[in-house]
Amino acid sequence: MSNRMRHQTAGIKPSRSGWASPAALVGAVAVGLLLYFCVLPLALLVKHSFQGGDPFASYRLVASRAANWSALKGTLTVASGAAAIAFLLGVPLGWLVAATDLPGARSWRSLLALPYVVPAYIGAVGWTYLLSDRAGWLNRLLTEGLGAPALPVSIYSLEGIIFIEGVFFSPFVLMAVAEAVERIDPALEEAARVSGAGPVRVWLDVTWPMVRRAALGGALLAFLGTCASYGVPAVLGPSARPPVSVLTTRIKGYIDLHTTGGFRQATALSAVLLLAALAFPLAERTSGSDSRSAGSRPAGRKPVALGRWRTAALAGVGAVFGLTTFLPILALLISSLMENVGRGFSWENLSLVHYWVVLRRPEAGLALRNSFLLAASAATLAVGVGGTLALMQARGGLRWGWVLTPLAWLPYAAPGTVLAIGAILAYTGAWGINLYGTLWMLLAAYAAKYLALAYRMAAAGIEQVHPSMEEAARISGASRLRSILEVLVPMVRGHLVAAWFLVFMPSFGELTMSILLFGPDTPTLGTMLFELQSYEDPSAASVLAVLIVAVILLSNALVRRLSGGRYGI
Amino acid sequence: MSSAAGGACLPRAAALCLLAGCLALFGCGEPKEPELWIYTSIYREVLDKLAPQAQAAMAGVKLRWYKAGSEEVAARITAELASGQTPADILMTADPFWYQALKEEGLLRPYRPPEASRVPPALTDPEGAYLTSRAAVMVIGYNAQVFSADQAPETFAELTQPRWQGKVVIGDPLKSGTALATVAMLSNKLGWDYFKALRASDVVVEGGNSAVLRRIETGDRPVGVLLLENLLKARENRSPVEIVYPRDGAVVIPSPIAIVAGTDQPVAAERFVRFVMSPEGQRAMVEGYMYPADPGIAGPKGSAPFTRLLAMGRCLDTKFVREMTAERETLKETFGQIMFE
Repeated sequence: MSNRMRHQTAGIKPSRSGWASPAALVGAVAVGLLLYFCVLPLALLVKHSFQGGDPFASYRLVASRAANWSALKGTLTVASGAAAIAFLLGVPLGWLVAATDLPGARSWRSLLALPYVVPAYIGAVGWTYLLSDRAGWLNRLLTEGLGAPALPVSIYSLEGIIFIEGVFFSPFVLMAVAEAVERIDPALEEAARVSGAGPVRVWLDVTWPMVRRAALGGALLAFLGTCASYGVPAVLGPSARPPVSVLTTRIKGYIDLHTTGGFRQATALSAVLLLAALAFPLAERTSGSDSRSAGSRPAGRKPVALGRWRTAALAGVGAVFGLTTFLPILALLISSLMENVGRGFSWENLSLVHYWVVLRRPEAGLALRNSFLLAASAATLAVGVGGTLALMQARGGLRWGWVLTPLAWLPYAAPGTVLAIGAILAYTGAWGINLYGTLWMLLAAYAAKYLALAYRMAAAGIEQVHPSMEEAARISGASRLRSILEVLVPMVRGHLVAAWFLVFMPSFGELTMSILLFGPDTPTLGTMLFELQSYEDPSAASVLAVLIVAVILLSNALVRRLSGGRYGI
Repeated sequence: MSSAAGGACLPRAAALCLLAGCLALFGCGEPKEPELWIYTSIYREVLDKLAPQAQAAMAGVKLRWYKAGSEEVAARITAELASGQTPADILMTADPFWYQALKEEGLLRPYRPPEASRVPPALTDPEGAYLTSRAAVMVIGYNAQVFSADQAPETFAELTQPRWQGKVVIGDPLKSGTALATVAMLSNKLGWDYFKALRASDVVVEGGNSAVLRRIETGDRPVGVLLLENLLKARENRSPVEIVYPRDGAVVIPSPIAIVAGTDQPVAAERFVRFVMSPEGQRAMVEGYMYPADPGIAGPKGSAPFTRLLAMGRCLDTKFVREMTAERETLKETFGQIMFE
């Protein structure tokens, strides 16, 4: 209360406006960062695709290849399948953990976000231990142990790729739905119930319309993320029968030709993915209703009683978690403890040697520090810039504001390799600054790549707060900046924290961009992982994956404990 | 309201701390002595031994290492050159075709130190634009839990036989430079029909050599074509794999070292090349289970003599590399069409 009194007395001075105001300055900085770090590298790449005698030669060449068209088809199939899986998993789970009296709901919420913590291609490696054609542990259990006919499920398949990508991106939908559910005014559902609607009816008519936008937005995010992903299709696609080819693996193939022509064709093909990014905000805009609450998280929300379904729901959530998340992580853990995966399960094969190999590396501590620092900084930067852009969008103030959304999406839709090459073109001195070989280079790439996630999460939060709240503060004399920092930010806190984690987690184990951008003094967990995966026994890479999961779980638990449960995933 | 405003302090304070932390930790000091940048794909084991030795031999110059896969190094150099310049002074990776292409574009600075005279002439570029510093060898590996030595395949050619249907794994030339070199050699000697037959017998194409090794180890595909060094290392780590030197010739792939034409440290770069080609530098290669380019220095423990492998005639000598460099784009395309479409 005293706080508020102070505001009122301090706020009598006239609020400044126009270009000189602090709020406008913050906005200008955010737009500047967006243009310099998200648009410039990709613009330079696209410029490359038009070079040569005939500007459209690379495009014509790319379009003339049947393989590229089947790769486009592959990308669309995998991405829509993955989006569907993310949606089907995320909506019920998000609702269960946020709205009901599911036992241990808060812990489930953290656990179900785990697939996103493990880099997707490492998850894919975990699955190959379980479900590779003949040697997969689960497959052998089914055929040799239980005498099932020789019909093993192979993770090396189109379905396998879709499944892993869908599970990996399901936390997008889950987190968005959970956050939206918590914002529903319980009075609405109560009113429906009092009017005689059954629980299913209440869900369909009241709850669903309020979470639809969040759920579809999350699924679209999964779609776009899958389009740009390289690791999983690269690990599983070539050995699938029939082989699965997607745009990102084709693009990498062109880059790996190391010829001028190959490079141009890679950029031309990447431009197709960038177009998807430009279309994304349009798709999202048309995806649902608009629900706004006047306040922050409504008070007095009582969890929906599941009644006799409580046990069934718990069993269902447990089964989904076990099958999609626990099993592959367990497989990674087991393989990290095997001296050699070839010798199978035996006490004699149990060993900590891979942990020793990883931890005794002189750069292990430095890599951990770098990754933690980079991920935390990238997350903070992305939330700051993304939040500012979202606010400018939501509260008007810029005539060309609508242009910003598609621009923020560009790096997210670009394959990591392409973005990294763009960063090398842009930040090695030719365009103002030279970030070469420093952590700044990695920071710029991470923050740019995942800016869209922070932007979208923040936008979803801001949309739900009616501008009247800040207006009230401004009428009381607070400056624009102050009304935002002290009124709006606390209200969208949950969204901002979720946004922070959405950027932190993939940055922590990021590999594709890091491997091209790191310098001699800037190893990261991702570059270490690459080295271990490509030369050491792959079990050593499992060690790092296990360590990444452990670090994220621990820091999440720590943050939640220190903040009394208010922050964290 | 006051509690909400109080809650906002935590993220703001956290953000400020993070920013301050970043500024303190990200900063990069000005280099004091001249730096030599080496881009390389050599293995950690080799680098751990080579880097301190090289640094000791090169007083007054700070050695800076960028270590990644051959493909990543090439992608990075391509992007750097497109942006105007590269900080790299020395390149030391596994893909000989790339060096030939760089040489043809005039991007390498010729240098042939006296130490290089011990390298067989077949592995020496006549203009000295790049040198062979070590050699990788592509062989057949098999899982000894699945096959005994007398059941194992003896040649590359026989892998298309029905006996090996569904049992073979090979590397992907689109992802691995050594797999590309192998496809170049085998398609040249055995024709593309060889790969069509492999596809028909349900061969699996995996990414790099370690992925191939894992398929063999788990028994998923108990026979595979991969690098000797991976097998030697795995055997040392008690993996159930065994080595076959194919009777129709293990594929010998020279790994070059070269000086970048635009280097601002030509003298230091030449000193470094001399060190790598010296007996001390060459012996470090053996740590990574690779053959030194100097046949006078013994190869890795438990391996066949280098001269015997060279005599089998499946070596990517400079003549072969020169002829195939222009073809590698078509090679990848053709391979992709056969295996992935």
